[in-house]
Amino acid sequence: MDISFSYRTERGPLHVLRNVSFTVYEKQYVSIVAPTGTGKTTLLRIIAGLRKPDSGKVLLMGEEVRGPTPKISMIFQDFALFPWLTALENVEVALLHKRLSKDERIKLARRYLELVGLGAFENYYPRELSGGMKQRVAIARALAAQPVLLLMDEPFANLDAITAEGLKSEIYNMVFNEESTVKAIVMVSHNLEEVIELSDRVIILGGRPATVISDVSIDLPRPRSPRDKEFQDYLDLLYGEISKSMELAGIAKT
Amino acid sequence: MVTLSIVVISLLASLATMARVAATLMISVVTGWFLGYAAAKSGMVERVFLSVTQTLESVPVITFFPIVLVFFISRIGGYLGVELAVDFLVFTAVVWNIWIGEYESIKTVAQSLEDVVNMYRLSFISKFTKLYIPVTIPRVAGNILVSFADALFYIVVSEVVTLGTRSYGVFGIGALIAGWTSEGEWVNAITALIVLIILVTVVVFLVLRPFVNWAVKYSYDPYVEVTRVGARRQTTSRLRASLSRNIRYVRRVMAVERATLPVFVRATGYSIYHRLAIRPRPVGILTKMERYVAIGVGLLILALVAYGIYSSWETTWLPILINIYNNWVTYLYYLGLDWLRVTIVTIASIAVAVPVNYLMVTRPRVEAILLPVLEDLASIPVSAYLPLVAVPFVTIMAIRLGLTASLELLVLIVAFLSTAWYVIYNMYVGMKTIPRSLWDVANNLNLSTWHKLTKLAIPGAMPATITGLASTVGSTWGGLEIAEYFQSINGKVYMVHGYTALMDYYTAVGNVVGLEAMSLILAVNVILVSIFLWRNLFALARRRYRMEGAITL
Repeated sequence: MDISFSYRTERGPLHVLRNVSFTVYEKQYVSIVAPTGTGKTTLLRIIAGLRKPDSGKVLLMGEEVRGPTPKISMIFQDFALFPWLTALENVEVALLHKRLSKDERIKLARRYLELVGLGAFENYYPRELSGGMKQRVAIARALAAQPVLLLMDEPFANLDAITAEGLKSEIYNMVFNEESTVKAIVMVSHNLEEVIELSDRVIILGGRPATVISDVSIDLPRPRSPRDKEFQDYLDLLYGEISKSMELAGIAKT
Repeated sequence: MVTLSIVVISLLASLATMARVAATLMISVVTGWFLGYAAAKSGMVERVFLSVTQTLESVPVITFFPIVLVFFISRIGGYLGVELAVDFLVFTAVVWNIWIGEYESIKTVAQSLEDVVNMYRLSFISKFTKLYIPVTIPRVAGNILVSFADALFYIVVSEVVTLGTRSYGVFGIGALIAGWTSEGEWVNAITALIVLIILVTVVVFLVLRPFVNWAVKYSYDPYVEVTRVGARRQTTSRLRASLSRNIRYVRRVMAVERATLPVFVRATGYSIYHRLAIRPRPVGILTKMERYVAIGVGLLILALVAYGIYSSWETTWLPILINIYNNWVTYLYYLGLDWLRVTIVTIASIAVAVPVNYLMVTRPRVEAILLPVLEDLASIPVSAYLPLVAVPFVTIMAIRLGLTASLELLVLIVAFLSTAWYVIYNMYVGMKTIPRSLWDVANNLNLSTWHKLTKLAIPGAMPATITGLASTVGSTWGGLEIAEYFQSINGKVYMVHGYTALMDYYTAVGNVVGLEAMSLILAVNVILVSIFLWRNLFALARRRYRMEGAITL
């Protein structure tokens, strides 16, 4: 993958990403870290095929991604649940493209809701669910599409600290189990603790237009605890890398 | 004697009128989905769409009705022609507001929701049924009361029109009341009016209110938690825990505050703030291809228009221009008079609205009684009861004030009644959606009533008032048009000096050329006002008075 991207604005093109390139391997949980406004979400949307890059291409198992595909599923910061559909119907949306019979579709959707622990809430509307439950519905929907690659755009940013903690401890097992088709995860975040707790690899973007500044492997046994010394060492390492990227952005500005 | 048959026929006529209202609203809503979608997706369609809708929104359609009627009768003819002319008139009165709302809803649909339907490859139909249609529902709900009232007003007026020596009419409550009044059948006419009022009340409370209530579930606010489920775990940090608790508390308070608002107010408030939150100019960027196509289509249209004018120059345009040339002083003088009336009525409406709304917002008991009455009154068209009261009113008042003054008074009262409800209602929505915390601050600082009005209530209600005015000015013109010229039982004509009165007169005597000339002047005038007045007012409301956090339904 080698991506450049710029926004067409009324004031001319605004270069956001330049030659961003990295590879994600099977069974890997990769996080992308960058300061706000770097174009992380844009990068995710390019990977998902929702936007076209100016140059470069995204390869999924050797094949170019030319447009949105259910093989790449995304989880959003604002959950992106349809307020007029129930939890079950929201999950069904991911199955509509499959031409299943209605019964099969409901059965499958129900299975994924149970997987995320919301079996009893299938007839609730999003506004009747707490933030954590909404994000679980969104995860169920993303998994129901049976994707190969799962993208997550700051999935815990809009949850309160306690709910986020609970979901983080479960997400790895929800996604990487036998029922799931997911082979790899790419998550965008600016919470470093969360990134170290969850990922196998951390990619740091920086500068304007943004490029890959560094690529750090996190080699810790799971479950990980922020109180461990090694965890703290990784934290210091990442902070160091990030401040380097900030300096770069500063240079780019002047 | 009131017989059953009179009630039955009144009911049937009211239902026929309601069916027209329902059909035109439905057509507006459905066409709006596709047009709104096209405009939101293509920069070129968007540019055309915005300039057309924004200009036509505040046009007093009714004044163009005779021209429309002439067109439909000469092209289609018969009962069908009249029926279509009536429906078309009402359609053009309500459609802009609905279209703008739907376009803006689709334009501002959450990016993530749009990503979801693309990611899971929903078909075009699924995209509409799962996403693009549902997102428009809150805005439709927010406009529904005003649209309904507007449609009813125009339909009742237009059901009967006299053009020259011929009178055209379709079956409906407006035609029925006007007919009975002109025959002197007062009891029948009053019965019909009562039937209409009851039916309107039923529709407002049993159809529109439940619809708006239902629409609430269509608003997208991902962060509102209505109920909180799940046990609280051991807290790791006290600060964090109390922070999240407080945030949740504030959210819940805001949700409760919103839930206690009357449902129409919530819906209308949503519409107003949603509208103001949106940049009015198109953001879709034109591709080169689109630019060439646009220039091509533009030139083609210009050529067609030029050819149209050229080919009908002798028969149509020359007489119109000669007519304007001969009468322009009169026309402009009358136009000035009518604008003066519109201004007086608007100021009077605002002057009444401020104290009434302040009382309603600060005194729950006043509100409990007044609000339902207002909601209902707003929907009962003046045009339905005007024929009943106009002659008696003028006859009685003329003894004291003389005929001219009492006619003028009638005109102003009718125009006021056609306008005031909307102004009061919109301003009420504005005051009511001022966040509770600001009222608390005002009370906490012990502000006087005067200061609360000038520092909080009036500026807080400003955006709603301004958006309201754009769509009510049409109704004011409608009020002028029906009151400036009317006939009594014996065919005696009452009229004042006014633009719409002259147009009515031309209609009655069948002076089509004069009518076309006046419509042309009015069209130019309306477009200029729209560009220079309303757009600037909207911009002002956006710039200065927008209140963050008031946008959820």
